[in-house]
Amino acid sequence: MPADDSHRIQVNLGRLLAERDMTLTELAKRIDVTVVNLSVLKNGRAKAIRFSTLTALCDALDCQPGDLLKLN
Amino acid sequence: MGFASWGRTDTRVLTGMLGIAFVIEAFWGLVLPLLHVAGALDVVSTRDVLVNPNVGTDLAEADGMKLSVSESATLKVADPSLGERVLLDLPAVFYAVLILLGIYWLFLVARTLGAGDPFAPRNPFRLFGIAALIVVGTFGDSLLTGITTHQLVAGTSLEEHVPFSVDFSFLPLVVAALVAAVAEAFRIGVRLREDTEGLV
Repeated sequence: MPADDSHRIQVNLGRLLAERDMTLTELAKRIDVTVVNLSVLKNGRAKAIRFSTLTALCDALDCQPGDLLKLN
Repeated sequence: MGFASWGRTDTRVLTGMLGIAFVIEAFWGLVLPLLHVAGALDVVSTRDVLVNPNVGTDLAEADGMKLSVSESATLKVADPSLGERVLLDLPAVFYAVLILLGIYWLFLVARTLGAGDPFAPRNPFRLFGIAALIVVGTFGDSLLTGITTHQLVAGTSLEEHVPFSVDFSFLPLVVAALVAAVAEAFRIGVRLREDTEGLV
């Protein structure tokens, strides 16, 4: 079993937010996820993401999962 | 009616009881035997022992039934030397140390329950430790009692009446297996918690 921090998934939330001129707080309000959790996701400290969170993020940012996540 | 959730009062009651048990065991199981070994406490030094069956006396026999005295006896050591006192009290001290360690680990587990963090990373280790203590205590105490009894009577005329014997009970092993199963459940819980810690 791989170690918890062995993944190579990069989360592009910061770039998507900047492109849409949106703050983390605004996004948190829209998708009803705490700023703390979104910050964890934005800074690459998340170990997993729920499909429901991913769906809400994609809806709010008008993007596809592939825009948000990238395999390095 | 459902089960009420674990509350602060439950934790206080449990930790309080464990604290009282710790103090009582420390006094009766550790301090008193050590005082006895040091010669500061004058008590009758005895040890319950098993004796050879042929030592037993038949009291009566009727209608195919026989009444015999038990195969157990009490070994009294008058005015024991330091070495004899050590042999007499060693099993009790050994057992007390294990019990105190077990109570301490249980106390730490109870504290994590009170803090709402039952799957603290150290809890599986503590519970596996308690299971191990039960096994070691069961076999170790019995073995130590057998060895020290043998040493006490070795070289005396009582030696032929008191054979080396070790008494095992399986119930503590069942309890140890149960505690180990709980520890494994906690270990899985810790892993699940680690998995969900970074979940967004």
